[in-house]
Amino acid sequence: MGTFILRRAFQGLLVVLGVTIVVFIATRLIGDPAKVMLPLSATDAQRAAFEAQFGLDKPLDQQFFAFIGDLMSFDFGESIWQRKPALDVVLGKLPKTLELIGAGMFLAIVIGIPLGAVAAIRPDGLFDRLIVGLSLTGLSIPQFWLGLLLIMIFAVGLGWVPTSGTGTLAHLILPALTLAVPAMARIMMLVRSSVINELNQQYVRTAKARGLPFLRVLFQHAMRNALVPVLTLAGWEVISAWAGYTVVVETVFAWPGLGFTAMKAIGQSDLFLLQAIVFVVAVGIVLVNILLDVLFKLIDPRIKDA
Amino acid sequence: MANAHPTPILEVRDLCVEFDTMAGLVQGLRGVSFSVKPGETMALVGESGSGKSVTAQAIMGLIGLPGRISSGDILWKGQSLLTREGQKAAGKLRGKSVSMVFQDPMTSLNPLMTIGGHLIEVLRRHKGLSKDKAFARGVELLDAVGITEPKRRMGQYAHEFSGGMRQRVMIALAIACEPELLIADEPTTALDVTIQAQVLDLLADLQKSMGLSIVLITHDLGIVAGLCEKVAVMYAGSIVEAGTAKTVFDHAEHPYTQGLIRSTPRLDDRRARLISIDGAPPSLLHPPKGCAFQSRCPVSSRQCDEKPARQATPEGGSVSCWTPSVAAWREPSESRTGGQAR
Amino acid sequence: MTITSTSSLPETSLKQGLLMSLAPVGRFLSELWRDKAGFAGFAFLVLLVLVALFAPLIAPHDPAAQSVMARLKPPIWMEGSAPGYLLGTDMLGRDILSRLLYGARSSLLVSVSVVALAGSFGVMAGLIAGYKGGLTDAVIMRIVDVQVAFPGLLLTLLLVAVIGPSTTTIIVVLAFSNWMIYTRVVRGIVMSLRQTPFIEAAEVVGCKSSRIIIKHILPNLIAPLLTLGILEFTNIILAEAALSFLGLGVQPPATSWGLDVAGGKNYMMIAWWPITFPGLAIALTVLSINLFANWLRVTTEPAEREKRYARGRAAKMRRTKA
Repeated sequence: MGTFILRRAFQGLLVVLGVTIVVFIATRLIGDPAKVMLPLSATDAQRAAFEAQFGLDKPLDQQFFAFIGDLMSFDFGESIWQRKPALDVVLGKLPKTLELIGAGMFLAIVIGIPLGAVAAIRPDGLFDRLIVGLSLTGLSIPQFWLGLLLIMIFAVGLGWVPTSGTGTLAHLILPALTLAVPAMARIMMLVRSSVINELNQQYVRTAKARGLPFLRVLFQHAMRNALVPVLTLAGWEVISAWAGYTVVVETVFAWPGLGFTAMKAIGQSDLFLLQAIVFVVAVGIVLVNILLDVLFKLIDPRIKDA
Repeated sequence: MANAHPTPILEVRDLCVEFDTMAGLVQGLRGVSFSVKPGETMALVGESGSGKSVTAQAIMGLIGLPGRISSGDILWKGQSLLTREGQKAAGKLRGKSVSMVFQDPMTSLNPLMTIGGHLIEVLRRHKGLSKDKAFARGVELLDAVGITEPKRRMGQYAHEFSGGMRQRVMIALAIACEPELLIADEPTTALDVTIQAQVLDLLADLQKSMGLSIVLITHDLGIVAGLCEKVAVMYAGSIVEAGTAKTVFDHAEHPYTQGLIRSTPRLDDRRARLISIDGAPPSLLHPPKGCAFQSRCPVSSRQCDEKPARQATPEGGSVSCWTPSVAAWREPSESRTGGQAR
Repeated sequence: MTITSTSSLPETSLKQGLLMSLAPVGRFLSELWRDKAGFAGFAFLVLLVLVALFAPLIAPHDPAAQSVMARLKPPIWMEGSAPGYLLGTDMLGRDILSRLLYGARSSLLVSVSVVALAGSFGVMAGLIAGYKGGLTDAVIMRIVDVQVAFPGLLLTLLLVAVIGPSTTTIIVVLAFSNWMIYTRVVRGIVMSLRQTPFIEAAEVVGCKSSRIIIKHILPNLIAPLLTLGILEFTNIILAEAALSFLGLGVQPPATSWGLDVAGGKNYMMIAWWPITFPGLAIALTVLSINLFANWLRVTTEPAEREKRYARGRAAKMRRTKA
């Protein structure tokens, strides 16, 4: 177990290093921070001062190591827009995003798994067709549009919940639902096909031949096996929501989390803040990945150290 | 050996099973009849696709849509299992009074459940044992099928067992509720030869000690002789010949049975050379009107365009052939193309 | 005489050739007709491609033409609508229908380019990794693993923000963050194919690797890559729409469905149509692709087809019994 986690941690380090290189190339080689961050009217002298302040006038290799050194000491620079260290801004917004992801994934799993499983009992039956249709629709609706539609219907039209903002459960429900829908659709589809597949496995036939009632075969045998790939998907959904898909939802609902802040940072040309968000998210992905791997080893006895 | 009780515990009457596939209606079983008396052992022999396994599945109620039993009957101690009340009774029988061992022990166990979990599940379900008692009984069962360190093994998963060991576990599961009939569907096909013999010995021992009836399904005539009193030979969804193992082996009536015996290597007979039955069994999508073996039969004639009736043989068995007991296969040394001669 | 006979000859053979080449199309359509949902999806996609190609000919208005007089007019079937504006107008008085037709161009241009770009690079990398094996394989797959774990959308946002948003930028950036899946799939198939007897035999006999790849490996890649490419297509359409909605994708004066939803957002309290129609266009397009891909996946796999038939029959038998 120890070496297993160590190996995953090493892989995670590579990911963070990869992100560093891409961000460095993007911000220093492709883009010009001075051009992005200073107003168009800036004079050459202002420009030179800016470059000197952030070491942008030094050779690229020196810049790169300075860049990595700063990251190692958790120094992401100062947010120009918020006038405080970028990392503080990011950590301040983090709980809101975690709240949204938690609520959204909870909805996706709690609704998606049972519906998918029930659909699988009678493949191609009426309920199954309904579920497949709903999943396909959920997969096809753009999230930002779904969010706007929900606002239009439930907040503007019916007035049941506020249109945007945060604080109460009523504020949370629409953003969480919007974030959940595509994940829910994918989970439903996978649970369905996975349960159908498991119900056709030999061990299910032998369980039936042992005279076990259908519901016991379904829950104790088929579902348990079907959930292994579903958990992989659920983990992937959490990661991909965390890796940026909250940006859209947070923007639509003005939800003050990391994604909303990232968009604000772009609007304010605050590159340092944007960098800090990207890094914190990258580290988060690595941690969630390690956590999921450990979880899987506990669930499935067949997984050996790989 | 053969029990004196006149009533069979299992009787299959003119059973037909159809499968609705994209290509059309496949007639998996085309009128299968046989019966098993208490303590009797019977072999269902035939090549793959002949309907042996479908028969077993029909008895166990495992024919799922879009397959269905289209006609015929299955009776347990004289009571039909296919009527509405019968189906309810059948649900309680399966796993308890009738149990089954499957061909592939590698995939027959739930990979996420311990071996003990499997055993405890059946014992609690059918015997109503408490958890502790079920565990203790599970250990006994593993011990009975020759698994060492049964207590430790109870907590392990299927992937920690070898193929032969898994099949022993499957047998332990099958006999857990002291069934009266055990159906073994190719129980040794997936195993190494040395392990095959061990598993067959185990089945023979259990049969004697528990007074089990066994239906052994196999394509391998070699393993029939040691275990079974009766043999039924299946071809293209029906039984073409049945009788005691001795009569079927020594006086095979049907050309297919003769061919099957002659194509099985025997240690005790070095003179006769092996033959092969040319061609392939007919498609069950559009089975022939007459004798299904006609196209491969070396002694077929015009008569065979009509379906031969089942008739009794002098030795007390039965056969479905217009010209039974004719020696159908010539020595390969006389003619290499013996199988194709008409 | 001679002239007519020579000229009529190639004509008939041309006709025959045309008929011959149309035969598979007919088979394809009749096969597709059996799955009504798949057929509807395919029909919508064909319509969409035609609309995108001939947008300037069909569109009733210039998509960029503003009209202060005709701001936020509702669709034609509602009260207060303005004649000539079938689906109404947006906040600048531009015709929504015309913008939808032109928006199809952006969506298709971006998604086709990204799938082609990411697909060809990803497939190449996968072929090399799977075929060369060893260190090359290890390096390529490590890069893939690392990049898959990147914070995809956020990094995309960062890149777009730094480079400056434009149609070209999002094509390049989306291709950069979406090539890995092709590499994984292709390498997986190549690895398993290399262990099959027919490839091993070809290697033993001494076939050139290029010949093995072209003759033996590529044909086996077509079906899975087709399905993958089509599904990726939906992802890219949604990604383009989302980026344009956030203001980091297609830039005005060009049109895009995502851009139009963003434009109508501030007026949704008083007018539902400026955001509803472009959003519906995105949803219908993606749904159509999904339905078609679903049919394609089942049809290219005989085992799947058989299973689908069995399920359908079982459902029918159950219904007639009940």
